[in-house]
Amino acid sequence: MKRFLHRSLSVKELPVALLLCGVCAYFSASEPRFADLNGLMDVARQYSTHALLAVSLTLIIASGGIDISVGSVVGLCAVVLASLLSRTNVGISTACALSLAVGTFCGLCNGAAIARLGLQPVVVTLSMMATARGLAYVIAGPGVSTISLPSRAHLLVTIGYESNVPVLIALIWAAAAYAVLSQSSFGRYVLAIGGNEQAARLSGIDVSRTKIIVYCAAGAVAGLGGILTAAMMSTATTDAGLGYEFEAITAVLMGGTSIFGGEATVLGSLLGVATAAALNRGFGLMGINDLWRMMCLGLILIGAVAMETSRRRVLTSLGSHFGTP
Amino acid sequence: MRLRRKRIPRELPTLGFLTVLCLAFSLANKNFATAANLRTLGADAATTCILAVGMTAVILTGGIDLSVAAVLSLATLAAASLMAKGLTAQGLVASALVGAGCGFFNGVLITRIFMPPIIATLGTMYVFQSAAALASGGQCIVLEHNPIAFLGKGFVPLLVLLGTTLFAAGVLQYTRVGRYIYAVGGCEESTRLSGIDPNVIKILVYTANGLLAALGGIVMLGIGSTFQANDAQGYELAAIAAVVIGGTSINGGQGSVLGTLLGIAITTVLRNGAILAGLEARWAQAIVGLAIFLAVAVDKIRREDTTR
Repeated sequence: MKRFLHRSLSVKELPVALLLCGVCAYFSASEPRFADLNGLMDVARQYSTHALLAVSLTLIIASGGIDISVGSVVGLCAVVLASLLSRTNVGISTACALSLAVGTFCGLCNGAAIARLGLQPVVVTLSMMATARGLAYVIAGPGVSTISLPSRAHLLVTIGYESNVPVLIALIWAAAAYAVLSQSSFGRYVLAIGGNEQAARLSGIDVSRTKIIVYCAAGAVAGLGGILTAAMMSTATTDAGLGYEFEAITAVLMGGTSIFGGEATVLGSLLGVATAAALNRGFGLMGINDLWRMMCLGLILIGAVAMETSRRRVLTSLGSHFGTP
Repeated sequence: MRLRRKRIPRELPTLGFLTVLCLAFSLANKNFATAANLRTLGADAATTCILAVGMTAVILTGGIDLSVAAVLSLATLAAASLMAKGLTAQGLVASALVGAGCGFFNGVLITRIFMPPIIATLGTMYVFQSAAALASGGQCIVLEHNPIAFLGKGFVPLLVLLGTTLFAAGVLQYTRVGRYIYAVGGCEESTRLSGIDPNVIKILVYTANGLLAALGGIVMLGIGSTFQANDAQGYELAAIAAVVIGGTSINGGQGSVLGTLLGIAITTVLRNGAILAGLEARWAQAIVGLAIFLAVAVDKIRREDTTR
């Protein structure tokens, strides 16, 4: 019995997989349109930005940090892209590259402040959250909250709105992060830093370099998310990405990545995003106020972390018999 | 050398900066240093200042609370809907109960379920905010006969602001609980070993924070006579910014409510002065974001200086 308990508690993705199955079963039973393949692809496309952010956040949280600025960076990059395309005559690829560069720079600032200056991730990224959103307002201009992509950007809109490229991009980033976390020495460094930063430093890992790379990657990927968001809606709003960090963090933590760092599962995060997407589609089809969905996500976030803390305690108490996972 | 440095109050640089800021704005615009503008500033700052006072105590224990604005919405909606029916006293009580209850819930999540404060309050922020928006149905509640309109008249907001700040400063400085709050933030383990239960102190602090959020909402209702669920959006950020700019260490244990008052003064004067000077309001959020970063960096450098 104890061995069984220990084994099942060690599978980090189990709760989220059960939750996803439950949610899907409930919605397909009560709403026949839920399981429609085209509709499911639509919501997958909508949630590809969340998936991108969730995967980067998995790496960050695994390293013992947090980044609550990703949503604002998505908004900033979307606004940068749209204003470059509609107000100047730079090419599409240049505009995308510049927008990615802005995202990467935001990530670099976060990483440098956290790793080099030794500031707390919470406040650094809180400050970036306000700054990036503020810059989006400034760039959009007085009284402007929506910038449409011009007709010359139709290729971008086609890719974002009609193809499955966004989903593909999210899956590629997830596969890359999975490979890095489980197969590369860099991934082991990330987990080691999250597990015990002091020990990692003493065993010769370049902690600050590793952290900067992780936050930079998150910034760059948020930039990519900004481009996708703008392409999908064919407009950029100054509110783009608002609250995405909350949905992404919720997805990561319900997926089984430990908020205390050192343990991560990219697969779990993807399942978490899928759960959030299923809730979105189900609630949308059943005509339930979107606020109920936000409340559900908030409760899931609290529940997931509460479960994680108690799982840790149970595992610690069982650990003396079976070794730590 | 170390002793001499200790005698310089933490708030001195902030006070200096505020003075320079005020002088510059007074010289640039003659409408700045007037009694009318002071009244405007008081009304602008009252709610965020009350929130920031509570947030100071939370940050002093080494925590953070992202949910204050949501708690304010929920508590004020309860008050406003009762007051619209003419039940003033019941409205005030309901607001206090809702505020304290939400704060208590945060405290329990953080101390009993061992959730990191940022995650716990990120979750409750969405729960409380959605609850407020759902309960009000997105409607704006308008009080035609506002029984607490006196709270918004003349210098009253400024007086409420100063009163709350001084009261909190007194509690933190001169009472046992106040000193325990500093102790918990300074070193939780030694506090526990000295026989003080840090969890009780933390629950107390988060509950007080919720109560202050309710008070902030009442003042807001007094000034505006209307309330809508998303009226307080972003206030948690303004409060945290003021606390951090005021010199309270984000690691806990160091700082003061008077510093927070200076932080509020700086952010309010910056916003007000920038508008008077013709700068657009859209710069405000970016400036606040950068100010948070600068303040934290300065605090870090100062701490490294004193521990050397």
